[in-house]
Amino acid sequence: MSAPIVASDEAVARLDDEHAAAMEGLRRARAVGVRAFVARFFAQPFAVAGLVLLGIVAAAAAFAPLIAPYDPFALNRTLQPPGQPFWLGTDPLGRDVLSQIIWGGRVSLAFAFGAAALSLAVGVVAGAIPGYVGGVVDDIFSRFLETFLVIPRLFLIILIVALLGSNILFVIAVMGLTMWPSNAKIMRAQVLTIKKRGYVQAAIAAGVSPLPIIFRHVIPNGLAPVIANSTLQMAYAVLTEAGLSFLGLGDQNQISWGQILNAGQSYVRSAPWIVISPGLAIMTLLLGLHLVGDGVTRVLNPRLSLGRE
Amino acid sequence: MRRYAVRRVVQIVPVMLFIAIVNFLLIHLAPGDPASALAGEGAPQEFIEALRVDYGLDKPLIEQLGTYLGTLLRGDLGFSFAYRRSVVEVIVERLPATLLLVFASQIPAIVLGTLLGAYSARHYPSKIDNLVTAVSLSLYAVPIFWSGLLLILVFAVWLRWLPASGMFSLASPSEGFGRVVDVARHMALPATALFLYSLPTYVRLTRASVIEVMREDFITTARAIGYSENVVFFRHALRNALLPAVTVAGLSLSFVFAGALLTETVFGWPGMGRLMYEGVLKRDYPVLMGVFLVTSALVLIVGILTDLLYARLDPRVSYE
Repeated sequence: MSAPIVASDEAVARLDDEHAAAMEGLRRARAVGVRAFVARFFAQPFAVAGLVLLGIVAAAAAFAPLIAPYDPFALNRTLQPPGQPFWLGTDPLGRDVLSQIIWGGRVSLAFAFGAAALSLAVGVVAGAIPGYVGGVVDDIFSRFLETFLVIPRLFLIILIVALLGSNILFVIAVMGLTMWPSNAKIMRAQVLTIKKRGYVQAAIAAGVSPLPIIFRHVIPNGLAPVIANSTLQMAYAVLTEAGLSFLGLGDQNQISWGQILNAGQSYVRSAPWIVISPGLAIMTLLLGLHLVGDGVTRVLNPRLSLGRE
Repeated sequence: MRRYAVRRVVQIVPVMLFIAIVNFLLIHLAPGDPASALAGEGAPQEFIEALRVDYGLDKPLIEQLGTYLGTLLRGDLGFSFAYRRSVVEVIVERLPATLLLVFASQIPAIVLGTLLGAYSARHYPSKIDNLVTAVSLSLYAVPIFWSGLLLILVFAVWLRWLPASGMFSLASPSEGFGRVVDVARHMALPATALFLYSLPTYVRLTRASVIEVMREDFITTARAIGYSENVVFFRHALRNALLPAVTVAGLSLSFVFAGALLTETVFGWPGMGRLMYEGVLKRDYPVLMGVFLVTSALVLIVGILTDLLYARLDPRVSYE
């Protein structure tokens, strides 16, 4: 029988010191990394243009009560063409299209940030833990991810919303909870390489338990590509919300770009202005998100290119 | 290879099981009684009672799940009261229109998309490449239901060149060449919308794949041997880059079906997507669940076929 291996006190203390030093180095490296990232991001004209587009939509949404010329729900004269006093015309119920677009940005941004943030939180944790633990847990989880990723998501979301209701917070949650597997897949792949690195091995040797290692070392260092994927997910959430509202599955208590399209689609012949401007608004936001996402991806990994989320 | 094929086909089982369980859970989560969710809106009371017996809805949950799965396994997707027919019949009737639209838009999109993507990668990095990237990102930003409405506005309302909706004219010839022309004229606008929606995906995939391959060692070797840049590009890079690009495309068919759903809704194209929309309007839950199930199955099957085709075409791939 061999004697159990017991680390001497000095060895443990040395490991602790090394661990602390490594953490300090890591913090500094990260600060440098962030500054370099910002500099390289702003060196790309397309990415900056994307940021400007996002800024326009965000400013309009934030200051909607000040900018919008009318109450978006107010019923004025119906089907007025663009001009004075309704710059973008009115819809079949007499609501001012411009005011609806300004207010509608709030719903789109709520979807972009709400659904993507939920998907990010769930995806990162759900991808990191099985990836770190490995073994059977990871095998089963990977199978589950593969299964979830092939499901036609839009059809699933339509089914859920049609059966269970279209309250805006509920639909944001549904979207976040159906989008996370792609984040989890990316995070898992990151974890598999990160857990072999020296600083993680040092932390394990120093006796740090798995959860702190996952949350303090593994996740922060693997997050970058997941963030890049999140900009795509934001675009997907905006597009899907617009699609649902266009199909008549939007929250009736909210004004959204898709709902303006839904109201205007039967009037394409007689009042085309109703459908033209909300589409341009959706395009502005989506283009902004895609340009920023492409910029982030180029900085993080010039070889990667964006696909459709 | 054969073992791999069998294993891939067997993988259908857990996915379909998962989807069936999702449907089952939704029926039970729906507000009100599971039997009325299974029946859809507008079904008479006797029918709802009959469903309660058929699906054993008074039994324990796990037994209900068994009964539900058994029903699905027999190919019974339920009965649609809105259509007074079985869901399977309704879907089978709508499927050809969707497939026609998908083929008519995807074949040109794949051909043109790979060409553009390869061209862009050939000139990477350059102004041309940036232009292609900018155009494809802009196309990504166009919601397909909106481009559909614009196409209707321009080509059907203003120019009056093409019909705005449906698949046939009322006065159309019922067979022969006239029939084909009539359907083609109705399909022109929806197929264009779906083409523009899918094009950037194929461009981006091919471009990324070719740029990736151009960095491989064998490209450097080929250049060192002294092959001309054209030979290196076409014979070495492109051939190796196309397969993975097309495979990824085949695996991500669900985005094409999502686009088809919205396109069919805008253009009143009588396919599965339009059926889903009508199901939403009529709260016809059996139809919604049936379309979801059938679409998932199609996506899975095409995914497996592309995977197997890839394994056959690329001698380097060995699956064990």
